[in-house]
Amino acid sequence: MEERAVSAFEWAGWVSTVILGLGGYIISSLGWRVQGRQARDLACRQDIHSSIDRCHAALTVFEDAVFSYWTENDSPVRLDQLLSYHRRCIIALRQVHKLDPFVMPDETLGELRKQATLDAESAERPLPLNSLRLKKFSRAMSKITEANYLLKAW
Amino acid sequence: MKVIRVLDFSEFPGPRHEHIGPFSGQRFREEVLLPAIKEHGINNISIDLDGTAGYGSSFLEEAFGGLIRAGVPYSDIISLSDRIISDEDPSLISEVRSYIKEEGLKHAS
Repeated sequence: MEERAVSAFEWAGWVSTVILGLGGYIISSLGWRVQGRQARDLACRQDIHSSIDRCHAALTVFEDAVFSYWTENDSPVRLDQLLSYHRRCIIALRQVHKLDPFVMPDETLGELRKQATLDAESAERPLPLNSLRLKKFSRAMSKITEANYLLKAW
Repeated sequence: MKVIRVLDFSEFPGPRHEHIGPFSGQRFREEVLLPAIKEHGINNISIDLDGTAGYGSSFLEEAFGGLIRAGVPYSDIISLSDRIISDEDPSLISEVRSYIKEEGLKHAS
């Protein structure tokens, strides 16, 4: 009789140990999973933010080059540089798009290239700062730089 | 479907007119596009813009807007713009369309 009571007590102890062990394992696993997901989300956000920074930098370089080309008497900027800077903007935008998809602003990118390079070989330069070409260029540039997909968010 | 690769014309597409610089949009239109349209029919050609060093807008305007000035019907050129391949830079397609539309409007008025 005494032997049976001890066995039952031991059995109950084993069962509670197993239940507690399993419960602890499940809770720890969930915690690790949540922590892993948060770390991944954080890393992804940081990547997006770095890409946004690079995109703004590329757009700024392009904008400065365009203004130099069209407004300075002896601008060191050449037409093929403008094309190359424009392409870098596209690549930078594509990188952001890859990490955090949005509709690529193809029409606006086309407008930027148009205002930057249309008849650039033959048009009269320098242009006054309030010229229609530069106004249209700035308008298109603002559309991209102020767009939601280039705003950082946590 | 005849695919015209601009890369076969030049890796460095040039300015609007040949007297400004080599591999111009004018030359591409006159020596590549118009003969291809004549030979294959405009509905049987597509144009691949990928692989070059980049396009100045003058080249694009002269090559494609210039088709309207050369007498190719607007509706045919707009449908051709649907068959432009530009995986590297899809903004080229919308820019080309804008030149076709602008030139089409000029000719309509």
